[in-house]
Amino acid sequence: MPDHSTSLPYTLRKSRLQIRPTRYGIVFILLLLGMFAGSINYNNNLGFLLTFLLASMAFVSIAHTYKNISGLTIVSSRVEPVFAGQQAVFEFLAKDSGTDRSGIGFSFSKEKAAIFNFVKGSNFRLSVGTHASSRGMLRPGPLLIYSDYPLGLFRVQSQPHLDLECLVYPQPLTGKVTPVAVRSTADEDGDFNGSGTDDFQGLKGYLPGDPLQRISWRASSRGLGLFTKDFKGQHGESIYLDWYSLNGPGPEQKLSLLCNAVLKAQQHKLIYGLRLPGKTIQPGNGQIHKNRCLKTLALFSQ
Amino acid sequence: MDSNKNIVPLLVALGIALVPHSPHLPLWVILWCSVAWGYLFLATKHHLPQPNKISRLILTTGGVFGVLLTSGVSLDRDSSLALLWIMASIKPMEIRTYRDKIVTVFMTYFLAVSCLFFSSSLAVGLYMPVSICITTAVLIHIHHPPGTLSDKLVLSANLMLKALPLTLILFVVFPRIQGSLWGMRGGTEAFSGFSDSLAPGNVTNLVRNSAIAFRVKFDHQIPESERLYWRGLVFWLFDGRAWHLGNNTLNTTLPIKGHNSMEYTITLEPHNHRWLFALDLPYDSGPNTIMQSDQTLLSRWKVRRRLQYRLKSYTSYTTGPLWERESAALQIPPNKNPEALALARKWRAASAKPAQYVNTALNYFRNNDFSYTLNPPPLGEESIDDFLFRTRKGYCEHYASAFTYLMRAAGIPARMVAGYLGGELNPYGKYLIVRQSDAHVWVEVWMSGKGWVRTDPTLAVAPQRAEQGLAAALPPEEWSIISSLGALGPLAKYWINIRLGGDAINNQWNKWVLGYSNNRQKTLLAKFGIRTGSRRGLATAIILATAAIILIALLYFLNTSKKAVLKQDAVQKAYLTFCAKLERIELARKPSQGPLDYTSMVVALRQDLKTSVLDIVNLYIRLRYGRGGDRDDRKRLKEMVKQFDP
Repeated sequence: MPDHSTSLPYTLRKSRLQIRPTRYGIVFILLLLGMFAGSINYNNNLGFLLTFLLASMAFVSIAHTYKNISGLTIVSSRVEPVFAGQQAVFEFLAKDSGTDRSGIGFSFSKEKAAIFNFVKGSNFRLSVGTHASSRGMLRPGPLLIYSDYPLGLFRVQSQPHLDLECLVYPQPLTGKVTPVAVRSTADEDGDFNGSGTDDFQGLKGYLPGDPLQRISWRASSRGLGLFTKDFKGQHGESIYLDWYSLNGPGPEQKLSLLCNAVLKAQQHKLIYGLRLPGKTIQPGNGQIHKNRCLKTLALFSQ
Repeated sequence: MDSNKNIVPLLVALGIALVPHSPHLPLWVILWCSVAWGYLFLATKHHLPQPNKISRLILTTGGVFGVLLTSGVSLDRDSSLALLWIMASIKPMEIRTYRDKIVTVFMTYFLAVSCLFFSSSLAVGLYMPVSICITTAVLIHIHHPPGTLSDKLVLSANLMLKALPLTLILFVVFPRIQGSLWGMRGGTEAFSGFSDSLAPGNVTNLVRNSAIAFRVKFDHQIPESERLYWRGLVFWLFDGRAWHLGNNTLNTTLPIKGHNSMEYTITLEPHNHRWLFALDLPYDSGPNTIMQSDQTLLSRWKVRRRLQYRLKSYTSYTTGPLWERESAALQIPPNKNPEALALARKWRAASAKPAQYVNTALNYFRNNDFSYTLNPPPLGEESIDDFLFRTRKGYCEHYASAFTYLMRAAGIPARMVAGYLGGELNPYGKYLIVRQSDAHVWVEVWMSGKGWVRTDPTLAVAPQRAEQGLAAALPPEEWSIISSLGALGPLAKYWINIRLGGDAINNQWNKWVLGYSNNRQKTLLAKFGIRTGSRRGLATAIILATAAIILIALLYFLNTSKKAVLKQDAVQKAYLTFCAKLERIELARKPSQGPLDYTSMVVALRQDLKTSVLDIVNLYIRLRYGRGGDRDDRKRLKEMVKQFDP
């Protein structure tokens, strides 16, 4: 992680812009040098004139490129967690700076750039994707913002290290995960009973991670504090998705299997918990619970 | 199909680049290109099949073969050009990617500019920027497809307009060198003019050509037309039929006495020889020209491009004694032309002085029914005898040749001088245009005490030739040979004016653009105090040029942002002054306070200042954090802060 990272908002001031010829710019310069040598050799003044004209036009185009890109301000960024193997899409908001901008490219490292044309008068949302190859916290590295409009011969660019992060869940892997019933295991928390959603059993104290829709707002409105409605599963059990129940595959596969199991469990509205070496998530249900499980899987390290 | 859509603009750019090449290309190449591009155009419009790899290969082979057939196996400049265009006709067929398109654009640029090595006329000079502008628009379009082509054209023209000052600076200050880097492969273009020998018929052929030989600008007055003898070559040796230069001239200037000095500048069209033309008789020449002992001038190099040089001439002069090497002026081929020889001996015996002899000879031409014509009958083996006693019809070369022979046969040194006589005054530019049709040959006879004396035997036959020009001297039925103006009838006068006006413009173009040389650069830069003669001067020029470029670059790059920062600073400065004024009344701003917090504090403590404080702060906030304001707003803020007096 580079230490000179920048935070948003980020404005492409002239001091932050670099310029370099593109591949075609180099070919163009060689072409001009050829014409130039020919003009010198034949002492052809019209040749000089046109060679200088082309060179000056390329030069002036750099000013256009500068003008096209400088002053661009990225105000904020947003990203949704993805599963490994998917495209992590960062959505940026660019502030309206009162000018049209043509052909501004955005990309992370070596990936194909997304090209946008900005129209003045409104803020502009743009999405830049990068491949999330493995689970964990994806730091896509510097964001390359460039423009080689209008001629494509010179590129003006900036490569800010914006503190961008995207949570990458393990890639779900279909496979057999034997759920472990809560009762059948030696529970660390002796008095804990597996909670389902079917039969209302009463109120229990709110635990972070409990689904919001099960908070008893009536109880809280009486000033009693936060309580969660406790349900008893129809099958009488809540389950643990247990790392230790999987033997054989390596740790990454285990995480992928567990990830898949979490998704399935949520889909079937089970009450599920997660047990990993050194980390246990109590059974629960709901989107927040699911995301908490997935995040734990994503960031898990032994 | 979408990728093919973009090739139509490319085809247009290529077609536009082809136009100025058309005079230098074989007709079939032009047709070939038109058909190839036409087909591609239609194929794009109507979804016809694109030529595949095999047909492209066949086309390439066929095209190359065709060029080789047209030009022979030698690969000269013209055939290389034809080959390039064959490639350009096939390249658009294989365009698949962005890269292909860009390469084609670069190819178009190259082809467009390569036209200059064939022609640098004003018309081409005006056409090229248009071609480049369109090609650049196509480049923009390929690089950035959204938007219309006409927008791209506007942008391209905009770039070109902004590039103009830099282009001109580069053009003026970039150091010119003389000579070339790797030598030039000459083209096959035909040069017209004299050659190094003169046989009967050479000049009459030249006269049919109305091409411009050179232009002359006199510093002061233009001499009378009968003095406009433009000296080019001196022929010493006669082989009985043709005259040759001989090898008895030295690269030294001989002393001349004279008066009526004329200073002038000649712009010589390329003729692929070293000799230069000068008003009879030059006595001083500039750098890179060599004055020879027979008062002819040589350039250091073959004149392959337009050359400008300055000279000084005396229109009245006497040269010195006859030098030993100049005894060649008495050479005649032995055992030939016995009748002429006998005539010369008879006259010489009857003349007391050489001058008398000269007059006898001239009178012979005057009184014996000689005529001046562009269509003389052919001469036999004894060419002088044939002309003097039988045909008696000839052009200046015949008269000069026979006259010189008669002089030499009588022991009077004489030599043939070839050059031009007269010139057309261009009233729009106050300069003379000398054309190939003004070609003329005359004689110089050496007389003791006077030196070489110009004698023009043609004038004995056609006295109007010097004063009124060729047309007046020729019989009317031959006018059409030298000019087609007669066919225009009364319109001829207008046409002449248009032609002269055009030539005047062209002359400026030649002078300032094409003729911008090392020398002219020196003169021009010297006006700005830059001396490029020395090595240090050259370095100064380069440094200044670089500095100018950097300066322009800075102006281009720093224009907007710098100004914005300065404007912003003015706003900030006003606010700080405002805060400082409040600090004086113990209402200092804490570093953590933004303008709004600070204002509420100030207003809470000093209700009396409420309106003025709010006015200032609101304007400040708008200028600094809002959309910004114009110059008036910034001025108003400054004024309000100035008047603010807590």
